[in-house]
Amino acid sequence: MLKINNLNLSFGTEPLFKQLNLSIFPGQLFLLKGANGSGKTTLLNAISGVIPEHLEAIISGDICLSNQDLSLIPLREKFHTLWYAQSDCDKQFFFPTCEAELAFALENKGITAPEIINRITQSAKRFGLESCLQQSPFTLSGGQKKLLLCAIGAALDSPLLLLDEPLAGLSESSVQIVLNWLKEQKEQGKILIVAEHNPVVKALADMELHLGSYMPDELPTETKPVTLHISSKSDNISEPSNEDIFFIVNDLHFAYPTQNKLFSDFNLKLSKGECVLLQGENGSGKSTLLKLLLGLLQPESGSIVLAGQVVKSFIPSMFRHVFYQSQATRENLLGISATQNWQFWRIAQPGLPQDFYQQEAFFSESSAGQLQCYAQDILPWLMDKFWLLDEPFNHLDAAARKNLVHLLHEKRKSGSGMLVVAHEILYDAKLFDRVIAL
Amino acid sequence: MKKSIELHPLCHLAFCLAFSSIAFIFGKPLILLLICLVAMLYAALRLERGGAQTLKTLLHSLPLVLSIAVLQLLFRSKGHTLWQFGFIKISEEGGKLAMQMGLRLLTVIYCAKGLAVLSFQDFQSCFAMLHLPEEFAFMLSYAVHLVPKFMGQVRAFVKGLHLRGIALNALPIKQRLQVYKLLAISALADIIKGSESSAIALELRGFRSAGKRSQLHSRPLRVGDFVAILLLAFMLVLLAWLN
Repeated sequence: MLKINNLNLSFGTEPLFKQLNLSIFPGQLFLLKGANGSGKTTLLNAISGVIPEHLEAIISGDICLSNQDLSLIPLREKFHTLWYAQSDCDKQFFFPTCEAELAFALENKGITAPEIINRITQSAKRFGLESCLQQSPFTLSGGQKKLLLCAIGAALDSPLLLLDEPLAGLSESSVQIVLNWLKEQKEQGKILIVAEHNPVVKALADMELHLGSYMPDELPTETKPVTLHISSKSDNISEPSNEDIFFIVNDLHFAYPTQNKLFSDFNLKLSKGECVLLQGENGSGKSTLLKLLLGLLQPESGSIVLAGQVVKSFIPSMFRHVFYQSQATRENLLGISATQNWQFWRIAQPGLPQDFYQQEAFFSESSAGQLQCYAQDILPWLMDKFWLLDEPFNHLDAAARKNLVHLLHEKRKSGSGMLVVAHEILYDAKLFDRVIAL
Repeated sequence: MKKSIELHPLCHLAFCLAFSSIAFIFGKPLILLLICLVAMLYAALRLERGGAQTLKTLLHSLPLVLSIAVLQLLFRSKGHTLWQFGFIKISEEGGKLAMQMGLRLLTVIYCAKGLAVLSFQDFQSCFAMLHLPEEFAFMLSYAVHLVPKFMGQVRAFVKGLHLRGIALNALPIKQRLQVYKLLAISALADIIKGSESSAIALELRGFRSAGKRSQLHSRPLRVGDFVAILLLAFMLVLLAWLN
């Protein structure tokens, strides 16, 4: 049993947790919920021991697993007891291949090489990563990175699993894979603590803790499902609804070095005011397509035309037409704080208000959801551009999601179009003209 | 990494340490030129895009190398004067030192490039073979990758500026310098923060833990590795004799 007794935690004078008491029994899944910045990750950091060993905080109280005080075990020895998958995947990868990432903890446990191979093979297969084992983890798609973290947890087989947003950026089928794994872990008597915005985890949860103010977790009503129109990747999948063609993709071929082809004879036309939802399995090439459209990646063959100009590589003047946000939130932010990021925006758009933020918010002290919100603060000022948004719903709490959906509706009215990659929302005819499934 | 040199990481570590050390031990310009050429050749064999990347490194390093060489040329006045124009004087000593410093710097840059190909795992297996703590492997690995990481971070920030429609060349010089300063500080802050995140991530998987480790792909020293070490030793002796 995991028992938390009278946990008090604060980063300054204001306490984040006051006299927190919890008991979680083997085979139970404890769901942590709450708004962005409410302390979900902080609680996981405290249980794992990252706080106070690496991150400073004023902390008191006991955290015991099977009557063993976890605070007495140094972080470097905790891998015998727990696996903690943090929300920012890139921070957790260090090795040149996925195989090495999977093997590291097992090697440190002193497990024999044949057994390591067996565990790696099994967990990679389970999470659909067999073909990625010799690939760099940094070249995986956002969803595949999440799956890799789960695969490490599965291979390590620890009695306590701490998972911070394990479903962020996952396709429907990948979500199912992770849910099945969580279910199996429960059946095996593991203790699971999951911080997650996606309401599907609720079905597996034995207990929930709402941190901060209570928020309803259902999807915003604006995104009720309508029929999903799926086209094959190799087909000429679309014809724009009007003559004002904005993007033209002709016979596109693309593959990452030493990997299978992602696009073969791919054709696409997007009109200026068109709003399109791009969906597909993890690793199917959604983010890659966005980067290709902008010239951030070069196709092997084929051409991409943006507003009548052939796209060869990205140049700053393309910002006149298009605004792109990556799924790696930190890539969308410049500087070390929200204020600095805003100052950079003011160089690009001198008309922006000067004091947009009331107080300084450092990125290093912000949660993943807060970072996503800072990155999206600029969107209302860029309504005249065609948006290419990669997983904009990742890490957002229900209120922030609702705000974003509202903004997308406004964007649609502006008539300048968008291409949005999102697993979390369902196709809505009021919001999108069509959906492309890769 | 290229598959052409499949030596034990320990050999590569020995090569890089030996080349960069002897560049500072020996002083004859001819020997330094020889070492620099060997280091260049080594980097070309090690790097992914071999020759092209080596030449690119040379071009990128030249401004730094030349500016250091020019400083030596202008401010060292000992020895026979080779050329004089007013108060500007180039002496024999200055010329020699300029050449020495330039060649030494280039050798170190190429050795660092060669080392940066090694991953943390490679350093780990080297240090495990030498029975040294794996903390050293982490520190050395992080230090070796620091400059490439920093440059990568700066490039990512510049890409971020481009995506906002900001062309640095189009900015007034004062604003451009301000932007560069902010980006450099942010990149450095991210790198420092990143080292902490990496340490946390590794410790969560048992880095520095007690107990015996196993290795998925253990790589003992092979005949080829011993031959390479012997060749290196022979080269060192030859250079000592030439000096």
